[in-house]
Amino acid sequence: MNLFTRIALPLGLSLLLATPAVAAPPALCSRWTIHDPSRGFPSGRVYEVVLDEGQPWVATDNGLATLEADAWRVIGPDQGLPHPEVWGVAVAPNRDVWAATAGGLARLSGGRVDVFHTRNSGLPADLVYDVTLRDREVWVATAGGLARLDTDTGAWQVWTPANSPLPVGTLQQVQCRGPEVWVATFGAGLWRLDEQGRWQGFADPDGDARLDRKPADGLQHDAPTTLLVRPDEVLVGQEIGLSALQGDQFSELLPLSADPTPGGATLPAHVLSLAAAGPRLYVGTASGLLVREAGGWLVYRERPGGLRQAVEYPAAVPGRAPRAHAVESPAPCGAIRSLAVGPDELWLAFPGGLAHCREEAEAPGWPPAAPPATVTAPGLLFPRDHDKLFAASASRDDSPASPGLVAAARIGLLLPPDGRTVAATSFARGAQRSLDGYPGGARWGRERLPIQLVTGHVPDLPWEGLAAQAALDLARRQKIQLLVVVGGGTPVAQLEVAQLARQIGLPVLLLGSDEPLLPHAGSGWVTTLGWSVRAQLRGLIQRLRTVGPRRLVLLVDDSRYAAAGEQVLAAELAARGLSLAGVVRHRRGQPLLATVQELSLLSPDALLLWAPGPAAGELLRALRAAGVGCPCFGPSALASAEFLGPAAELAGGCTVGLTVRRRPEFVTVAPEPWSAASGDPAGVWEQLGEELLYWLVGALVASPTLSRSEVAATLRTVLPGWSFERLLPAGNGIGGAPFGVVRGGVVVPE
Amino acid sequence: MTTSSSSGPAPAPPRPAPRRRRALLLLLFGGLLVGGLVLWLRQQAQDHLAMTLRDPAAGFGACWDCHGTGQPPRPLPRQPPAPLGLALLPGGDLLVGATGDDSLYRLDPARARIRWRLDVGPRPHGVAVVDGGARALVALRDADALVPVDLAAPRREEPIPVGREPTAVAVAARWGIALVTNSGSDDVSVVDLPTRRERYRLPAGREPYAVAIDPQERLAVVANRLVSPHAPRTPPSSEVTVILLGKRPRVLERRQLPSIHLAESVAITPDGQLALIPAMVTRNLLPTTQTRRGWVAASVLVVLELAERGRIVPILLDGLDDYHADPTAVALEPAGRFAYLASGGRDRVLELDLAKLRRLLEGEAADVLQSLGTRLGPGTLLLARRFPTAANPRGLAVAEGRLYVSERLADGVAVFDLAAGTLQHRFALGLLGGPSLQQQGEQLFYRASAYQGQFSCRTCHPDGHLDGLTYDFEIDGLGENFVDNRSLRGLVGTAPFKWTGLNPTLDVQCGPRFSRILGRSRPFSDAQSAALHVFVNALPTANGRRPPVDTPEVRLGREVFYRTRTRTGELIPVRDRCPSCHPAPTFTSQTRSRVGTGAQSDFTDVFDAPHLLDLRDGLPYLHDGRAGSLMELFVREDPAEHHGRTRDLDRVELNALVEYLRTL
Repeated sequence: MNLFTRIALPLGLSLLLATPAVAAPPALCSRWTIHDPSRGFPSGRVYEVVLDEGQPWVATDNGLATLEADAWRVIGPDQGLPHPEVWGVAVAPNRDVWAATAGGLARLSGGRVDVFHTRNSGLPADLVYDVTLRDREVWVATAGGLARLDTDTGAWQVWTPANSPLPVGTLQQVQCRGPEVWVATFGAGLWRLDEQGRWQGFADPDGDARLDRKPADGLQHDAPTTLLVRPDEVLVGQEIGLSALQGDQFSELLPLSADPTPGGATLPAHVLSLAAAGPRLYVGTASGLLVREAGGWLVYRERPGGLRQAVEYPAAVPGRAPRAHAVESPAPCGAIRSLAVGPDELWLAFPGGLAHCREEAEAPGWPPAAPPATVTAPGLLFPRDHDKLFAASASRDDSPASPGLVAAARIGLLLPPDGRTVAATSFARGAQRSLDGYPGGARWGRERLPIQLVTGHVPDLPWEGLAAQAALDLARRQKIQLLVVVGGGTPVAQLEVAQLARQIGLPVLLLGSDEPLLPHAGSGWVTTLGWSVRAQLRGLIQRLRTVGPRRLVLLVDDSRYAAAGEQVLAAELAARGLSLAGVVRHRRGQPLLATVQELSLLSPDALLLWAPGPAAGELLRALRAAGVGCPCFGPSALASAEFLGPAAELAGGCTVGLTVRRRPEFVTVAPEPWSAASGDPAGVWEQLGEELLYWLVGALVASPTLSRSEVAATLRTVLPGWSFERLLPAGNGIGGAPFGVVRGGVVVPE
Repeated sequence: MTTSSSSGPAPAPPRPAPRRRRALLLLLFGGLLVGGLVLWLRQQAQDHLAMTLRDPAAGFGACWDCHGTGQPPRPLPRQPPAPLGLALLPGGDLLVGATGDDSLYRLDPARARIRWRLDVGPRPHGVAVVDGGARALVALRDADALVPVDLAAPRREEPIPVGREPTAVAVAARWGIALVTNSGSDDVSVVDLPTRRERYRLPAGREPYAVAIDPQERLAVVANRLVSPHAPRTPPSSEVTVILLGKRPRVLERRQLPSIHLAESVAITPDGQLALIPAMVTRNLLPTTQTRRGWVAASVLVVLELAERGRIVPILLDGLDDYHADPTAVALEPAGRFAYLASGGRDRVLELDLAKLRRLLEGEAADVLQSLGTRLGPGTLLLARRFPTAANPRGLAVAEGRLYVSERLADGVAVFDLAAGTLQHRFALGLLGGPSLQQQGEQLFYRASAYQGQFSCRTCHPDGHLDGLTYDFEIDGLGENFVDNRSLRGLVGTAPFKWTGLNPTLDVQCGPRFSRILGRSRPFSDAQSAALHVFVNALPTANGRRPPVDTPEVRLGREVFYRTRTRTGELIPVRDRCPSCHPAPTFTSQTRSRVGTGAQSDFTDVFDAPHLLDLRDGLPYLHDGRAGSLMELFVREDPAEHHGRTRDLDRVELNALVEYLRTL
């Protein structure tokens, strides 16, 4: 063996192997073409888009649409489609198009529409949520189970909870990989059917429906939002992240264990859609588009006016700074319900229509490495090394009247007089705007509050659970000692935070929750404000009694927290002589029409919406479209146009939550909105100020990490005008404070 | 010394005695006779071998190779060949698919001899030539496969699985594919020729039966035999499926032929502009009183313009009292000047002048063209010649001045000289002896003897099955008692007949009653009836020709079918159990009962329990055809649960029950 083979060759090989792969930058989409009703597209609601050799097929609530010769052709009921609501679409190798609709399964072939429904086929339910193809087999996910149609023989095979381990019949998505079939359920995890007909389920082992307590132990969430089956892995999108299953091993792609940016920015993690093109993975979220490649992430972020900014995060090259690209003609909205990727093009389904982009030439390479950015947070509330006060609003309700946001502003009260800031991160969209919109500005009394809300780290809050998840994440990394969660929207998220806090031993000040729900939190470290929910409930029931409904139906978000709320509601209603004719649970991600149909069957003469989630507005719109015209009652959250979103396009230009005047059959109960003219007629501000202090003191005292003297010192520092006679040991704050605060500076024990 | 003196002229050489001359002559003639006989026997032996041997490549041995004792078992007695599909080879030879004896024949028309016969599999139907004539593709209707045949060997190669009951095959060499019409699964297989695999299927109409590809290989046109599923008492229509060829063939268009069905053949003109489809007109919504006027059943040639928004022009082929009953095949002369149309019920081939046809299409207004399907004149004007054939001509081929006609029920292939207009030769593929009783019955079945030859039994029962239509017979009132056509397959042991079960025997069903109600002609004689019944009773079911299906769903469905208790454990009364009215093996109790399926238009709600065989292909269902599917029959048409107990079944069980019924 010569010198070359003995030394040079191994050395060369090792050098070659040691050379890091050059990260290929992702292609950039900066010019989007929008297809919406104003441009001839048949619908503003797109459920799915798929590409067949460059031809898009789009499932909408107004039929199936395809682009032919630069014009949209629509196949709807007039052409033989069983229902205008098309929820899924798949194109076969023979170019037959299969459509999953609310009225059955349809096949479009050469202009003919063949319909399969429960009356003429083995389809287990007429609500068909998804369709996929494998060779000659058509697999459909329905409201009654999974079904397979052998197009060769015409034979159907059906799997329902009656003949399989499937815990629910409502299946939202189905995909195939070789002989395996993967099914995403509505709220009952992920299931695999193998070649031998055996089922295997994958769920969230921690049993928590919204929080992922232990990373990579399974699904993050029992309710997958989307599914992508690839040859080597199964990707499961959820409302709180993206999981990958390789073999039997789970890993988490989102949320990232370490932020790709030194600034601590967090990538959107409410995954709604997935697509892949070779090694490139496209993740559509509720607040933007993520493109993952070997070199890192390319993130299209939602900004006012749409996805205006594309930021490269070079995860593979530590220390390199992200680089932002302007998107010239952006897609209008960040909530991406479906994705379709062609060789050089990208289609996005957003609330309002479709966006199309032909990917341009490869973006320039990653920028040179930059020194890591430093973050300074000089808050001095806690005189330890843990110097940050973290305030997370657990509410999407960013109306000016939101008690959560008002309470967030009160955090400023705790700031020392020298004006040093506390880094308070709000996860509520529009929090800053709300603060600025408050009549007094960010002020306490006559003084401007020295508060700086750092917003934008998580620009969107798809639902409250994400806030808790993000809070957990930040709390871990930034060593936060006290977590202040404010919000008056749904109390369930606050309970999640409470549970979360118990896990990590973090004291939490929970504001705006409702006391009767707290036993479900099981935490000894929770204090409550107990203001908003009860107030709303009382007002709501009062309104209801004036109507005197005979068939009052409760529509709730289907979660175990909502179930707790349901108990409270039922008790409150019963105490006031009202009873429920039925309860309808709307599962997250479930097509609205299914819920609407279920509601219709109950023939309600009044509808009570409670914690129906972000889909409330859409649901109301669907109810109206379906002719369910009974009066609706809802909490104050429904009064928020922001919350309702697409519902603003209701007939007559009414927004559902604000229809008291124009649609008298719908009544919302909400505090009077703030306005410069009205000031603070209800005295909410004053009330909150008192209660905030009350509970903050309680939380400080309850903190296991602060000594009593430290708490006392802190209180004296931040409340110099107050006196504290005695601080009692922390007790169980549930249902009341361990001690009281009396205006004038006297702390009265017990 | 003695000298002799001549005493006259020398005597003439002795002439052979007359007896010897006669002997020599006899010897000569005898030799010629023996030689001729030997040659004839040799030819017969070759034909015999070609027809009989299962492996012609084995060569000629001795008679006792097959017929001696102690030898391997003899080949099974052959069925009558029943030739059907034809395909011409580049050298002029003719390939014939014979559905009766499961064979492929290679004929040499120039020498008027049979080159060989090869067993290819059950019921070879359509034939196509590939690889420049080196191979053939044969659609095996009962094997659900396409079998390639090496024509040089000749040898059957590995079959290619396709859809159910393939009937025709066409090759697009440019795209490396073959299209196969699967009449049992209502689709068209796209077969990749290099890999010899079915790539995928294209949904067609109901019973796709024939396919043609245009010479430019841009389009393929599929003729579907039966009408598409339709709402009860609405005008039916069949479909012509137009396929856009390419790397990924797809259905381009589906043309509807209103009130037209039974298209069994299609041809495309050499310029690719017209597709010609012979078919029958049906006006089943009219009462059968209109039959005598030619309104209920008539024969047409459908001319389809192969262009976007191209016209569909049906042209009546029937004359005043000269019907072109049961059109079965169409072929074009290579130059495209004449079209040839076979009448399976009238045993003849018409020659139509396509130049006249084009002038007709160019010169007439649209409304006139649309009326050609009901006008007696134009079809007659196009007619050039008639060629009489033997029984039931089914396949046509034209090349080099010859017209080839497969005469299915005469077991022959006729060769006509087109220049002379005469029969040139007839290949006899059948066995010695006359037709069997069953064959006689089949010939009667396919012969158009009703209404001056307007239609035959086959017109409503193609292949002994059904046409998917409901009819209004005047015998039980006009506009009342609509009856769904029923299959004739698997009839043995299922009497009585008719939906109401009023006809106790086939004799009653098909005898004088049939003549009175439908045929309006002399009824079959006793001998004819006997033959017809032998044939009808021998009609096998499609499921019976295939291996039994045994899947978990079918097993569960069988359990449901034979269950005695509901899901809640309640005992089901005996009369409400499925087997009570539908016991195996025929799945009919042969009794009449009331099951709540009567309609307002019926004069009775008591019906015969029908057998359940071949339900898979029996669409529509119930006596008046109101149920479009088996599932519909259970979930929609039996609200009061008079038709058995099914309400307690969940979706899985109900689905399994349907799957089981489809396998019977």
